[in-house]
Amino acid sequence: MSREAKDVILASIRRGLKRFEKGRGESPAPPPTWNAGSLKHSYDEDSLTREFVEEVIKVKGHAEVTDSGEEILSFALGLFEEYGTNSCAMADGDFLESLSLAEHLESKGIGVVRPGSGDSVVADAGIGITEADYAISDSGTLVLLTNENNPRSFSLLPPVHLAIVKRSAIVHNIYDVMEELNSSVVKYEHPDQFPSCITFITGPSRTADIELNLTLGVHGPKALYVLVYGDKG
Amino acid sequence: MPSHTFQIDFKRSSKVAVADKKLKRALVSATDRFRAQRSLAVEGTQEWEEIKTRAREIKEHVIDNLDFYLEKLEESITKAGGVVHWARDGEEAANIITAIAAERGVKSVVKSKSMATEEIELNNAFERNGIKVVETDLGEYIIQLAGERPSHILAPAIHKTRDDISKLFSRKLGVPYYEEPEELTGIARDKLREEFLNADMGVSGVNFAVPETGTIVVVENEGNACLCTTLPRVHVALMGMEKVVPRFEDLSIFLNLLIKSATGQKLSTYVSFITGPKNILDNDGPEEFHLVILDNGRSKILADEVTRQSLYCLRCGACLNVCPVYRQVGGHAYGGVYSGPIGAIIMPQLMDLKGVYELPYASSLCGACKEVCPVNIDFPKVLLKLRSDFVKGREKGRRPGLSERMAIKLWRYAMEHRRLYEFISRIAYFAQMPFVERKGRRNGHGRIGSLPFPFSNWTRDRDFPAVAKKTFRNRWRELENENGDSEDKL
Ligand code: SF4
Repeated sequence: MSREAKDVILASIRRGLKRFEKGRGESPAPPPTWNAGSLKHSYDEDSLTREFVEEVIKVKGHAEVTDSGEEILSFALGLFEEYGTNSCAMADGDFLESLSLAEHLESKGIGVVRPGSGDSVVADAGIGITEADYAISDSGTLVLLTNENNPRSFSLLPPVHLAIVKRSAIVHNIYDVMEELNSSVVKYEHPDQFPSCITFITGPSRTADIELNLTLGVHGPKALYVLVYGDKG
Repeated sequence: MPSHTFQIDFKRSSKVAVADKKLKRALVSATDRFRAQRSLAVEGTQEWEEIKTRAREIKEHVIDNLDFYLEKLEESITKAGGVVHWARDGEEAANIITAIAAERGVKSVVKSKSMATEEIELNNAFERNGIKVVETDLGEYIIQLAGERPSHILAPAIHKTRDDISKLFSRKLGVPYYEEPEELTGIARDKLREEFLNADMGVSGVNFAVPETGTIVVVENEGNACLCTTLPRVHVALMGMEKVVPRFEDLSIFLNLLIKSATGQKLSTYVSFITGPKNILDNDGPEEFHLVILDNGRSKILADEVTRQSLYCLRCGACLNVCPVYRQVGGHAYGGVYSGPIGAIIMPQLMDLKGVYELPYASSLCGACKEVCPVNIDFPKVLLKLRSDFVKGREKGRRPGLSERMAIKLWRYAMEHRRLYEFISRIAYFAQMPFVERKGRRNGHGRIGSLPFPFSNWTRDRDFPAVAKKTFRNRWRELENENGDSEDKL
C-alpha cells in the first residue's frame, strides 16, 4: 500500500516536472547556502556576553554573569527559596558535575532528580537545571543537545528553568551556531551519535492567544534564569 | 474522495464577517500588531533582501528536484531509526495515522498546531476511530472546545474575546468564570499537563525537513510541540511534501525568514530539530518516530509552471496580515483551512470543492502580499492565472454564465467597430439613467450599484462605472480644438 503510494507520488512529481527518466538521478547541486561572511565582526567574549545578557532580558528571561561556583550555588539556593520549592531535576553536564552542584544542594535538603527518572517525577520537580551547549547572543537563545545526560524534559516540565552557559559557548548569531552544529554533529558517522533532539530556547514559554495578551508559562517554564559562567575578561 | 466538511461560500460568509464589529476589531488589532512587529524585525536585519533571494533560489531548486529530495529524506530518516509513510491524499494520510495509533493500542493523542493536520481533518478521523485527540496549542485548544476552525495561521482563536473564552472554559471544563488571561492560561496548563503525561501518541506538523540529515524542524512559542514530541511513546509528524530544504546549514536563513515574517521575534521561544526517535541511550523522547509525507494535490500544483511557486510558501502568515480583504473578513470567510492570499491561491489548487474557485477573486490584486512574502511569491500573477484557468472552463462545469460570455463577445465586436461603439455609448448613456447613483461620489462620476437581470449577475458583487456623457474620443477632439496643443494640458 505504502510502496504503491510512494511510486505514484514520485511518478506524478516527475510528470509535473516533465522529467520522464525513471529512477534516482544524479544528486542535484543546490545553490550555495547564504554566506554570512558579511556579518562577521570580531566579537570578543565580553561583548558577546553583554549582548547575550541584554537579549535574554528582552525576551523576559533573567540573566547574570558569574565567575565563581559559590555564586552559582547561592543563586540557585535563592531560587529555591523564592519559588518555595525543595526539589529540582538536574542534568548531568560536565560543568555542573565539576561544581558538585547536586551534592551541595542535597546537603541543604533539596531533592535532586537525575536523568533516567520518569516524566511525572520530573514534572513534579520545582526547578529544572541544565547546561547549554551553545548560546546565541543576538537573540538571547540557549541551544541544548539531547543525550543520555541531558534529557529533553528537564528544560521543559519544571515550572522554572535555570540554565548554566559557559562564556566560551556564546556565539553571535544563528548563522554561527548552525556553522558550529554543521561542523560537529552533522559529521557524526553513526546515526545514534546525532542528537535525537536539538532544542533552541529563547525566553520562557509564552502565548498571546487570548486577546493578544502576552502570558508566560503556558506549557513550558514560566521563568527562565541564565547564569553565564567564566572568568570575567 | 475524502468527505470534507469544508464549506466554501466566500460571498455569504464574508458578508456575515464584515457585519461582525467584534470580529473586525480583533482582526485589525491582531494584524496591525503582527505587521508592526514584522516591519521592525525586518528593518533590523541588514541581510534581509539577500537571504530572501537565496531562499527563493533554494526553494525553486528543491521543488525542481523534489523526487530526489523526498527519497533522500526517507533514506536519512530510516537510517536514524524512523519510519516514512507516503500519502496520496488526505484520506490516505488520516488512515495511515489512525492505523499507527490503532496497531499500538493508542487511546489518547496530544497534538500541536499543524495546518496540514487541519487540511486532512485528522481530528475527525481519530474520533471516528474512537481515539481521543486533544489540541494543545492554547489557541487551538480553545477552538477545539468551541468546535470551530482556526481563523489565522498564527493566532487561531483571534476571533474569540476574553469573555467568550471565560464562558467557554466554565461551560466545558467546569471551572468558575475566570477573566484574567493569566488565570485562563493557568487552567489550560493544568488540564493539558495531565493530557500530556497520559497520552500514548503525539502528533506534530513540520516546518522544515532536511534530507541531508533526516531532521525535521518544529517552530513554536508555547512548548506544547516540545511536549508532544517528547513525552508520548510514539511521535507522528505530518508534512506537506513541499517542506524540504536541502542541507542542514540552509536552516539558518529559513528560520530567520519564517520567524521574523511571522511574529517579528528574532527566534521563536522553541525551535526543535528532531532526528528520528530517541537514541538508544537517551533517557527520554519517543520510542518511535513516523513521518507522513502528504501529496494531496501538491503534485498537481507543481505541474503548472506559473502556480508552482505556491509550493514555496513557509506558512508565515505575513500575507494575511497585510491583505485588505483578509483584514476585513478574517479566516473563516475562506471556509477552508488556509485563508488570506495564500489560501486564495492554494485552496482552489488543493481541493476540488464547490465555491473554492471563487477564492482567487477574493483579492484586489494590490500586491501587498507579494511585497511581504519572504519567498517572493508573485501573487498577482498566480491569482490571474487561476482566474483565467477558471474562466477558460478548465475546471469543468464551472464556466462563467452564458450571458457574461455573450456580453463579452458583443463588447469585443463593438470595440472593433468604432461607429457602432459610439452609437451604443450614446444609447447606454440614456438607458442607464434610472440606475446611476451619484450620491457620495467624490469625483461626481456616477456608479451603478444594481441592474436588472441579466446584468444583475455583474452588479451583485461590484459596482459598474456609469457611461460618461461624452466618449473619450469626443473629449479629446474638443480639447484639441480648444487648445491647439493638447499635450501640455493633459
Ligand atoms: S505566501 Fe509568503 S507571506 Fe504568505 S504565508 Fe506563505 S511564505 Fe508567508
